[in-house]
Amino acid sequence: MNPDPFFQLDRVIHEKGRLSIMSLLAATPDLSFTELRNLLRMTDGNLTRHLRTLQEAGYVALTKTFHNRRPLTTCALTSAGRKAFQNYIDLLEQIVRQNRDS
Amino acid sequence: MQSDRAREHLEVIRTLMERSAVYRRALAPMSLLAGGVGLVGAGAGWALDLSAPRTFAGYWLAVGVATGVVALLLVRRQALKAQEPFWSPPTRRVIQAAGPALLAGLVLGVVAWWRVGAEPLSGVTAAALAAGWLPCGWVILYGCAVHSAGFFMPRGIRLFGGILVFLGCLLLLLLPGRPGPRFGWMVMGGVFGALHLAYGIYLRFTEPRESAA
Repeated sequence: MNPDPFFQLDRVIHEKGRLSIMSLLAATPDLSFTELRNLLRMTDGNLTRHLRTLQEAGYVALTKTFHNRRPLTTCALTSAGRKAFQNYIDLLEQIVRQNRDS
Repeated sequence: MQSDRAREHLEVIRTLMERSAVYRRALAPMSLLAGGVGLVGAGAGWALDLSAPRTFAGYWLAVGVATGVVALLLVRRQALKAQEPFWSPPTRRVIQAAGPALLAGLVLGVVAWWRVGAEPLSGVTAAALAAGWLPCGWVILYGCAVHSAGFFMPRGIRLFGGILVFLGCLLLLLLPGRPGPRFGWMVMGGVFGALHLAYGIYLRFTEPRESAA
């Protein structure tokens, strides 16, 4: 493994759109698809694509239910996702710290 | 270079995490509702001369509870319209933050309503309690509730809560020795009515159109 923390950053999370999704989900137990879309001002297609990538990595879980007879998709971080996000932040902090110390 | 990007990323993460925890439903309708009810309530109560201490306390308790229920229905309507759950984490946080002070206000009102009809209080003390101390206490507690909820709401709400607390304290300091019913009607109509209406109008023109929680 490359000892440079920059090269250890999780590439799934490092993409701007997915990082935004992970950040929003990290601060709250869950968010609906509409909430995420409105907060990030993403198109449905774009958000779906990023969510699928995060879901395939096992970082995000999607739950489909019905709310007042309307379909409701809820997104939440999985424990693996939370751990990966924490690890990602730790690495970013490490990069900042290294630069400050050198 | 990498360090700058890392710092930028951390900043973005922090901003987004804060944003996701913030309550984002449109507040203008609620503020306008509270203001309208406050003004109409004060006008109607004054015109109908509901100034007897017990009637005054009971009347405003009923108006307050009814306004709270309608406000919750408004939030529910907004949630339904946006196809989102009503009991979202931000809504939960706001209600949990405002809850204790609102509950204290409710208990204060119930106790005042009950006590002003009880024996040991003389007529003057009962009138002073209902028309003077009670409205001031309600303004302060309501301000505390708004201020606490403001930690999970857009900026400005906390300031509004702070202004209410300050106003309540100021009114308490300026409270006349024997406050007449007029004082009570003016405080309720002015603070809960006019102030909310003004804030609602301000929000109406400054809030983003498409709000979602």
